[in-house]
Amino acid sequence: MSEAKEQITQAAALALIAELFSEAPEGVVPEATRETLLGWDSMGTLLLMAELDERFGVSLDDAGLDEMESIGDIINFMGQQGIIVD
Amino acid sequence: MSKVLTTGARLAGVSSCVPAKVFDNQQDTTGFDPDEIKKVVAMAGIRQRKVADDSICSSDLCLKAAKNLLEDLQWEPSSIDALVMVTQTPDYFLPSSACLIHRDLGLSDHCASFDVGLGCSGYPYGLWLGAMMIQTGSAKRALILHGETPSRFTHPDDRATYLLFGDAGSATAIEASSSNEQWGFCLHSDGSGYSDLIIEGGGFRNRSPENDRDHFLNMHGANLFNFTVKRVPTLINDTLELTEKAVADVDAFIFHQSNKFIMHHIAKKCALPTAKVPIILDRFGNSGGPSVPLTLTQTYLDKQITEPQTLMLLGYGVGLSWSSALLQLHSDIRLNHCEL
Repeated sequence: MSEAKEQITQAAALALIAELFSEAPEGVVPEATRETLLGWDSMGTLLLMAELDERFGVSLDDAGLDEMESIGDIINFMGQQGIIVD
Repeated sequence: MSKVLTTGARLAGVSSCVPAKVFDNQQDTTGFDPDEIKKVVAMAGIRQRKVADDSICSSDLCLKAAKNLLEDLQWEPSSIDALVMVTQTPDYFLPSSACLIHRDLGLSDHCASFDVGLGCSGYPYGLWLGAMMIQTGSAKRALILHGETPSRFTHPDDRATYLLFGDAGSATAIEASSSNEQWGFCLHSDGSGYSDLIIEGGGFRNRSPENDRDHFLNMHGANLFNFTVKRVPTLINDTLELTEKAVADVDAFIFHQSNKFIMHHIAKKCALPTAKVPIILDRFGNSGGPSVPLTLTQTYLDKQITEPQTLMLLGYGVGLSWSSALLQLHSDIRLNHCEL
């Protein structure tokens, strides 16, 4: 597992994603998808990438983005990068 | 060696030229969802673009810029020893666009004229070539042209690219000088990222692709974002270190106008004051490497330069390739801008 610059809880990660995607927190759950979240668009993706870079020192490439279909996929990625701790 | 200091050259003039035709992303775009357009415009910061129709090539834009500049400088064509055309949108595979411009400017047959196939990083690379030619005595006067028409290689159905690009050409005049002024250059490449910004068809790897989309730009945005945020801050710091300067010593950081969000992100990372990072892509679009000299003319054309201005010029993108130049604008520089 990679060592991120900062570590947060899963609940904090979901709240962060809600903020970046300009979505109500209650809608940002692991089952939510690109289709159900209007804020998960090109702007939201760029904001997420910038936050991952600046705050956590983590990069997300095109291949990784293509594989993300749900918020749960984003959370899994953040976990693999050592960002999320329980 | 990727970091070098040169002496013996002065920047005599910079001229830019853009197409007169304006494309308003929100008013003139059809086929995309209006809300999607609004989001792309907000993210990239591009409201309008200057776009060439099929009759205008990079060489046309550069030629007009060069003619204006030579007239302004009162340089005889026969006095020019080198002509470098930096472009990835040439008129033909062969001959070089530099040779076409050589013909149109009436340059001497003693003038070395050639193309350089670089895009986004092209301007600092072009200046470096000119500076090296001057320093070695290969040339007393060099014209560095940099032009692109990227709006002509984006597919109208591609939401990722169609709204981003504008077109521009430029001409920069460099000549030998007895001044000890140093210019600093940092030049880098990473070919492993070649496919992140690519036109796959039409070249000799695939002359006649079955898929027509292969004649148009394919961009991997996330990879380019990661490349930019990884490489450009280091580039800025390395250039400051090479030239023994601090952020406070630099009057303007002139970025390749790629994307407003990304430029702001990097400026914030490097603690660059917003006032020192001019942004023009809102009204010109991303014109690739020529966006650097275009930003230079747009920033300084209407200003009276009373003290030397220290500029850091930054190019990054296709290749992958990234580069910087640090030099000074003096009060005697000739600047102009026109439309075609």
